Amino acid sequence: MRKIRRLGLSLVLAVLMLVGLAVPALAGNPTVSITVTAQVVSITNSQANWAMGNIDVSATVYFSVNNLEDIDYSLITNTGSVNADVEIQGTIIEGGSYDWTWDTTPGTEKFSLYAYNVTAADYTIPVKTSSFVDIVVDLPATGSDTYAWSMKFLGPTAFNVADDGLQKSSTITLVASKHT
Amino acid sequence: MKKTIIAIAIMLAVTAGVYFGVGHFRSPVEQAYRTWVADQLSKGTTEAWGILESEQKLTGNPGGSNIATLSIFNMPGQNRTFWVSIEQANPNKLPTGYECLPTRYFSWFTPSGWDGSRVTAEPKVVVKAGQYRQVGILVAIPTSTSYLDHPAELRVRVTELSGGFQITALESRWYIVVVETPD
Repeated sequence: MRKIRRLGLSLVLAVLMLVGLAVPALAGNPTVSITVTAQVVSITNSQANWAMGNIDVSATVYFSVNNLEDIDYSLITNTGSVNADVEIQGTIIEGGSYDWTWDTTPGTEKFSLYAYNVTAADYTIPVKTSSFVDIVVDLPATGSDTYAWSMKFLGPTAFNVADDGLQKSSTITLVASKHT
Repeated sequence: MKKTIIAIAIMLAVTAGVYFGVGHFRSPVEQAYRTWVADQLSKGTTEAWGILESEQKLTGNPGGSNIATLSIFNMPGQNRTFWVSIEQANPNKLPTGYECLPTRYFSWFTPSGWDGSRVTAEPKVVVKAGQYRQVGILVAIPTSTSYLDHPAELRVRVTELSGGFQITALESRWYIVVVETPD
């Protein structure tokens, strides 16, 4: 009988020790509990640069090699473990004397930038400077896990001569998150 | 006495066997990291980087606090610099019953330095090639009860700053539920 009691006591102590090892987070008695979904979000994009060179007023420039229209120029790859939504946002074009701002159609010191929309078979996804816009939704993490895309730039219809020959720059951000 | 020693030995053996044996405690985050790295290496991908926590649910009561962790990893290719920021959720992609956490509530969340120290600005950090690091974010829910019964989403965004014209950013979706009493 004593042996059984001791063995029982041993098992109880062992279980208590295991519980102590398993839940160290409770030791600090936090009043916010955190439940983590440990799945990886990760994408890569094949083209990191776009050097337009000198452009004229009202120029049309494609995100491609030698300004040729190439709708599959850049490739987004889902390298994570979950399906992802990928959104795109640009910045104003800075440098020189006057910044250029984005608009739906080009104007004086205003440019337009659109990404290729596979569904519409045209450059209809606005790459705004004010908010992120979907470029691809529910990109699989396995199988056909890439998305080919490109962009079309429409230059200002007029800009100040003070900017003639000066270099300007902008940045495009692709942001990915878990698709739900 | 002899039986007591045997009993203690059995106890220690059971504990050690479970802890160090086949069932060694490997956190889901660590497991996800190992699986992802092995997967990318098998594909020959060495230029990728990512975050380990695709989603986190934080449930707390007014006045509650805790530190949530975000893990950033970098495959062996190049060192990368990242910026961690708190962002508003996309209003078009909220789960049913959730709303966007207004930006005025973002003061609930304070990113910490790598050493755990509290910082006043969103941290900019370097993760060396082939390594991963964690940033702690202090979650401190106000004592006000005004956010009870308003489940909300926000995003914690990690932006890579070492890119050129094109920058990549990744977001962890955080769901915040404020309750009367903690779970």
